[in-house]
Amino acid sequence: MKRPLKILGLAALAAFSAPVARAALSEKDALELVKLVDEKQRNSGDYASLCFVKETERKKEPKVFQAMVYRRDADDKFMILFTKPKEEAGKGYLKIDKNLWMYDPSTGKWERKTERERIGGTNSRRSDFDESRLVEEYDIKVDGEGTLGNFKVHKLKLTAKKGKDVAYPVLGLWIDQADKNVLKREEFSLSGKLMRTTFYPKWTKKFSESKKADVWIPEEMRIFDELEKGNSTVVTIKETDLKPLDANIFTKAWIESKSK
Amino acid sequence: MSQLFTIARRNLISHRGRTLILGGAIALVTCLMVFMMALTRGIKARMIENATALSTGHVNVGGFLKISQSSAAPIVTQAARVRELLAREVPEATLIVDRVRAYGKIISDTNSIMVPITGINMATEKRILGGLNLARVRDYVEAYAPAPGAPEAEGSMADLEQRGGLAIFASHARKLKARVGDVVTVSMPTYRNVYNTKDVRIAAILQDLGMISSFTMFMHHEDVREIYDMAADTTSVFQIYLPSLDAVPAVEDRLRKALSAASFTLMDKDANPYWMKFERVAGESWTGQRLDLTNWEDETSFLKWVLDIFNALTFALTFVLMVIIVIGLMNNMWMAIRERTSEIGTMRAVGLQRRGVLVMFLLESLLLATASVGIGIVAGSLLATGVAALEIPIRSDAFVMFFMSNSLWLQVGAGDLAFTFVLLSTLLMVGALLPAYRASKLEPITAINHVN
Repeated sequence: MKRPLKILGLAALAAFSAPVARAALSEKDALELVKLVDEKQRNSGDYASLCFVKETERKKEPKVFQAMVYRRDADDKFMILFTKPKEEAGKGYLKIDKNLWMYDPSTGKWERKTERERIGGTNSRRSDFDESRLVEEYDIKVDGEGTLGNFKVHKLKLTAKKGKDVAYPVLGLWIDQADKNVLKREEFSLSGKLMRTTFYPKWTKKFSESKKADVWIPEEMRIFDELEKGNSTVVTIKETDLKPLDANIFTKAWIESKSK
Repeated sequence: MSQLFTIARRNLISHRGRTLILGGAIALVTCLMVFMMALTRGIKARMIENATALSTGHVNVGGFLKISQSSAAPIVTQAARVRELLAREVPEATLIVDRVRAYGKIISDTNSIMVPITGINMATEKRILGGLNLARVRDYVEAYAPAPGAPEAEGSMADLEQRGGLAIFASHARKLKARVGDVVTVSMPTYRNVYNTKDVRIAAILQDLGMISSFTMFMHHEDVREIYDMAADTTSVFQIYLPSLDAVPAVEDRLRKALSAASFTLMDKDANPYWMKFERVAGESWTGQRLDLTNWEDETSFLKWVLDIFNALTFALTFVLMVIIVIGLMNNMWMAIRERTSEIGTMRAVGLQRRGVLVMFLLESLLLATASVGIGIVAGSLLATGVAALEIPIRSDAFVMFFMSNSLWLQVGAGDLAFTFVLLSTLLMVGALLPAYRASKLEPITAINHVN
């Protein structure tokens, strides 16, 4: 059951996103809303999808990568295996416990990376492919209501809870009033500077056997680097599969075997 | 002996053509070796000078703080206590400064670069950093056409005494297309991995100093602390400057004992710069604070290959040329012996012993070798000193990186000259041994009857 959102253009989104001077949500409602956002995206079982990542940097030719993303949310396991282009094929990221490892088939070596590693050198982070844990990680405040293009949205300001390991301590969220999906997300640095803006123009849902309910998946993420204007990343998620994966898939040996 | 010496000298003079060619060749090789050694010594001197200004003290007390098993932040906690201990244990130190080490992205309007950033307190570091030269504007601005009377360079390192400033090198300025006064954004994660930013103004653009300067930018230490979200009683490294480099091993040893005695946990000695240790430290299972003692050689070990290349090149070149020269010398002596066989026979007949003949030829070789090597050393020293005095500018970025200077810098060392003299003279003497020995073995009667 696909219900793609009809967004004409991201420029139009920004232009029509003027705030409306009324606040319909209470703080409690906002919390419930974000809980719902997390819950809609929660899978709790296994997850596999085919991703296309298009990286555009100013004054450079755009680059397109194809990768498989695997998740086992119950154990907090995560893996990305690049399949295209040829020079990137076989490169992989694997999260074991709290460590993120990167495998480079050209050297045959594993390298420890930080959780904030730019995946494949793009402006996407591991967390972009992970399940949503907003309520667990952030305190939520209402920031009014407004429109984003043709969509009526709830605007929320999220501040990281003390001691939580998050990349961006402050978030701005634009949540569709109709289907409660995130349409826009702004990420701010500790000093309050806007660092990334992400648009989610397409959402799709799939039935999850493990959850016994639908899981909402962003089919497309458009990430704009606000520090380096002109740099952007488009992540397209296709062929999502929520069936159980092989038990031994989240291992270094598995990635190495796929890289040969 | 004096008679033999006179004979050797006269023989060299009487065959002056041959002597001049061979002596000239020896002098040329010596000159080349002296020049190359001066170049290597110059690079090393610049490396020490630049490295101790930009990235290391003579002895450093740094360390890592691991707030979790997989993390590694270049932080020294209890900074006041460490400083007090260092001041007490190293009274001969000429200066002890603390710096904050960070790594971040510098973003200008047109470009961005990832670069290590050092937080400094300019008020206490004037002696170290005050000597850095500002780059000329034309070195980093394309097709720069200054207005009449406009200064050649912009900015001042002294501006880093105030917060909000950033000092970069010309190579950075070219990449960022930035000039003094431009505002750039510094973006980096705090040591707890939360993204943070700060807008700073470029206060100074410095002359490139080779590879080492491409890895360095300077900011006010409080600005780096703010971005890095550091606690008050913390720093990244204490850099200790000593009156002489000879004292480094002793001070390092003393500090290792003193820090251990004061209950600080020390990392095992690892002769590498701190940034090469991140992955290893992050992979270790301990958490908490460990101090790391290094010296300037450890922190610049990644540049040692440049010196190794120059040393290898010097010795390879000299070796090949010396082999040719030694063969030439041997050939020269064989010819001399052949020409003077009757003379040797006559001398042997009137009472000169075999040993005397051996000494006579060796003296001839010694005279030629020492005089030629001596002349080569003087010529090489004068050439190197002259080239150094000219301060020939190096235009190519690749060569600047390689020579760690933007002008050709050579330094003649007395030790190098003595080494060259002893090495080359000995080699030449060894080459002369066989012909001289053969000459001494000639039978007088056979030698007298020898017909040229």
